[in-house]
Formats: sequence, C-alpha cells, structure tokens
Amino acid sequence: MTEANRWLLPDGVDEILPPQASQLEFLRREILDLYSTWGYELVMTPLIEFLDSLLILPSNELQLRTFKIIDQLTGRGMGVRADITSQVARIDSHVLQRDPPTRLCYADSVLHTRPESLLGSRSPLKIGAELYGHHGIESDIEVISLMLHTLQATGIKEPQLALGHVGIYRTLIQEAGLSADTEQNLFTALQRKSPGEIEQVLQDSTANKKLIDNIQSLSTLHGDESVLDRASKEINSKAPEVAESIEQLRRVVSAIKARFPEQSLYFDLSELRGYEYHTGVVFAAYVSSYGEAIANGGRYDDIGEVFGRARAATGFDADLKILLARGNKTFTAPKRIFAPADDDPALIGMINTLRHEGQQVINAFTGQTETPAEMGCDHRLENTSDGWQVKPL
Amino acid sequence: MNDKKLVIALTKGRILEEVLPLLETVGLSPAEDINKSRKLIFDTNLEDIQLMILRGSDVPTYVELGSADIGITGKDILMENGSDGYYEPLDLKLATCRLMTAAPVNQTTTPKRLRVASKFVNIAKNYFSGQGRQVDIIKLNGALELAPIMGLADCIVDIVDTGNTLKANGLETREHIADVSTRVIVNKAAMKIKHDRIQSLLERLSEAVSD
Repeated sequence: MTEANRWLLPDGVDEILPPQASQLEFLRREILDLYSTWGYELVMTPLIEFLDSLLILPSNELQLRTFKIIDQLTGRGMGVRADITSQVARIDSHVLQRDPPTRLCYADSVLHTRPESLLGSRSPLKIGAELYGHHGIESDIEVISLMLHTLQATGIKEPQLALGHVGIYRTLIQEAGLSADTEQNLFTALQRKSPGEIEQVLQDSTANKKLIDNIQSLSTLHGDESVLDRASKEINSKAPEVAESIEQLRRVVSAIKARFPEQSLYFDLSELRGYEYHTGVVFAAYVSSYGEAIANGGRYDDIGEVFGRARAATGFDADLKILLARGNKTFTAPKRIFAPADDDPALIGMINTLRHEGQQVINAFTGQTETPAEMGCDHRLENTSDGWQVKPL
Repeated sequence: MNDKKLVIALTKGRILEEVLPLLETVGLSPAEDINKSRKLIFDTNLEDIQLMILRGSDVPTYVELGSADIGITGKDILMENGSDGYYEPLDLKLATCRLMTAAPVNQTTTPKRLRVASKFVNIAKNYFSGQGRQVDIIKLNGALELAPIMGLADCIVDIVDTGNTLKANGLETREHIADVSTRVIVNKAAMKIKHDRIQSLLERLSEAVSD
C-alpha cells in the first residue's frame, strides 16, 4: 500500500461525520423510545457468533452475505452478524423461553460481504422490531403499524406500503409438485415479472393446465386493492390456504385504513422476497426518491425450532442510515457556547448549569488565539456588570 | 427517480430506430428529433414522460438505481447483467437476433479446455458451465471475429444477425445459446409508486406489439 491511499476505506463501508452522526444517534434514540412505548424491549446481540446458531434462516443470500472466520479457541466456524433477526429469534426461543407474546427490538451495525444492491452499503445500521409467540393477523398488523410509525418518526413523507402473502404461491406450488429445478426457474421468472419466461418454464415442466393458469394469474396480480378481489376470482384452487391468505390481507387492509387513513396501499401477490423463510404476510415500504424498499418485514414462524422451541414470529427492519438520508427530519442543534479560560467560580457554576440544561459549552485554553466562531461556536459567555451572560456572537 | 415524471431509458442504435415507431403508435413521441440533437434527455409530447438515450449496458444500471423508471434494452444486455434488481414485464419482439457460438469453418473441436472470446463473459461462462464444459474466457470489447483467426481463442460467443461478418472472416455459427429481442424493464419501487401510469403504458405497448 502506498502512502497516498492509506486512508482508503473498503467499498460499501462508510464513516459518519458531524453533524450526521449526532442526528443518527438522535434518531436511533427516538425510534427506540417509540418501540419502548409499544412495549418492545431492547436487546443487544453479539457481533459475532457460531455459524450454527447465526445462520438459522434458510437463506442462501444470507449465507453468502456473512463474513466467516474460524474461532481460534474451538476451531468452529464463526460469522459476523449480517442480520439481527435470526439472533433475536434465538434469544426469544432459547434464552428467554417465555410463553406469552414477546416483543423485542434492536439497533446495531451489521456487516455484509457484498452489498444487497448496487451502491448498497456493506455496513448498514439495522433498526427493527420483532414480535414472537402470536400466530394471528393482529401481530402482523401491530408490526406493520410500528413500521409506519418508524417512518413517520424519521420524517419520511407519503411512503407506499406494499403488501403480499407468500402463502398463496407456496400452496399453489405444493399442489403442483414441480421438480426443484423447475420451481427455482419459475421463482426467478416470477420475481422478474417476465410473462414470457414464466410461460416457457411452465410449458417445459409437467405442470397441469390449472397450475399454469393459476401461476400466470398470480404474476399479474399487482396493483391497488382490487387485486384482492381479482385474486379470489382468478385463482382456482381448492386449498383453503389460498382463500385464508387473501382474507388475512383483507384484514390487514381494514386495520391499516383504520389506523392510517391517508396511507396508500399496493399489493403484489407474486412478490416473494425472503420466500425461503417467510411464512405469511410480507410487507415493505417504498418512497419515490429511492429505487428499493426503505423498510421491510414479514411473518417467519417457527424459525426457533432449531433451538427446540418453535414460535410464531413477525417483524421488520430498516437501515437507519438510509432512513436518515431519505427522511426530511429537521434537527435543532443546541447552542454552542464559547467559554473563556477563567477559574472564576461564578463562571464555573454558570457552565455547569448550561451543560445541565443540554447546551454545549466549549472551554477555551489559556493563550488560545482562535476566535469563538473559528471554534464552531454561535454564542459566548461574557462577564458583564450583571455577571456571566450568554451572548450571541 | 423523479417524483412526477416518468423517465424511460432507451438504448441508442438499432433498438432506438425500431422502438421509436412503436412508441409513436402508442402516442408517445420525442419533442424534437433525437437523431439531430446531441442532447441525452428529451421531453416528449406528453408532459409527464421524459426519454433518456443511453448505451444499452447502462440501461439496467439506471433502472436498478431508480434514475430511470422504465428501460428498453436487449435481452443480451439483461442476460449479461444478470441482476434481479428490476422487473422484466414485456418482450417488444424488436431488433431480434441470436446469441451463438462461432468458430472457424471446418475447425474440429477436440476435448481440450476451450478458450472462448466474448463481450458477454457471464453469458459465455453460464452457457458452457450449463453444458458441463470448463472453459477459459477472454473478455474482448469488439471485432471478436479476429480472435479465432489470430489464434487468441478457439471460438467466440456473440450476437448474430445475418451472419455476414462471420462469413467474411471465415467463421461459421455453431451452437445456439439464446434468442435475443428487445425487452422492457421496470424499477421495482417505481412499479409500486407509479403503478397506474406504468401499467397502462405497458398494456398499450403490449397491444401494439401483438397487433
């Protein structure tokens, strides 16, 4: 390495400077306080743990995204967390072992071997909330509501809420009994919403006419609320799970409308993000200035089963750095007050009072020649006939 | 991504020539002659739609990052790009050609490790590994036909239209990899936020294509 590029940071790894760093911290506290008022308890998960417990979500993507190292003490493989959800699931199912619904939240950095998207960060700051131990749709509604409140807290205007349900596709695929290869190809084509490719895959397979029609309908079922009515009509399946899934989405819609009358909704029944581990309603929020989801989540029941205790689970997370960058929150900075180098007890008392009130007081050093403005201050302490007073510069 | 305007990224060259008349039939035309201007972004007869003219390989990047809502480019570009960061809802069936391997006429293939020259390194790698063949791939940016002649590679992977360039250089097509045509891609967030406008444009284009 030459002297010239010693300062270089790895791709997708950033440092946060003033004033963004304090804004980020302010936002982090505000959102965690919000979660606390909803009864979500904060957990801090380990930065690194054994792969056996870290990689419990059956996700190939997550495997590839995890930095792996060998533990010098045990010879076992360890991973740096690339996602916090699975760690929190472990805490719920194995460590806490509570029976009633358990609400947990977190805000911590994760590390990715490769970014999730073009220009994506490799060191996101994930903030999220997870709700364990309740199977019903009400817990989905609660975490969706909390996600929308999170966006409100960050000043994100008019997010679009996208809703889906992996149960419909999963039921149709189970009915069809396709080979693993065909299923994979179909999945890829469906994620690209490419009717030509979907047709190609299905024609090459042994799928019956009914399945082909159902999958093709599914691939067109995206748009406003009318999608749910169309789904009931167009998907021809005797499996009760399909109708149940649609009914669950209807209940989410009416609940969200009651809580957020202005919220615009979008439905996509073939959006299968996280299909490998999601088991029910999935949701994401989009804003017009950003090409991908700004926050997302969904139901992922029974992940804790590997620890001997299957639990219902739903939750969401977001990258706090992106929330800060995309939100329009205005931050009011405290006063920054310059205090001269002086051992006057009255001055020392004044400084303590100001600091106690949350103001920033910068002490000058004896002989220091920089002006208060050069020190980044907007006020100064002056010794007037009425004693020490704060004056604007 | 612009809040109000719908931005469509077009691929310059042959695709542009064939796509503009199609856009015309669905009532969308640039406000000025694209071929006579050096501008890269154009207003259209519709106030809320803008056209952007790019190199084909840049179209998926603009769409995935959301700077363009919709992109129109060749399937070869999309296959090489390999990303699933956008939707691909429509085949315009324009500017069709084939992705093929080509080698010198009469050259017999031996079971050695082939050297393949191509602009499309990902497509070539995927194709040959799908065939169970290990190959060495050399990335070139143009005049691929030279590579086998000069002994740089045993064969090439390229798009073939008439095949005349191959013939003139003593090459012949061998294996068919894929049919290529012009596709419409859509940014995933735009599809959700501007769904009505995008969906109606896609439907009109789809009708125009099947006519």
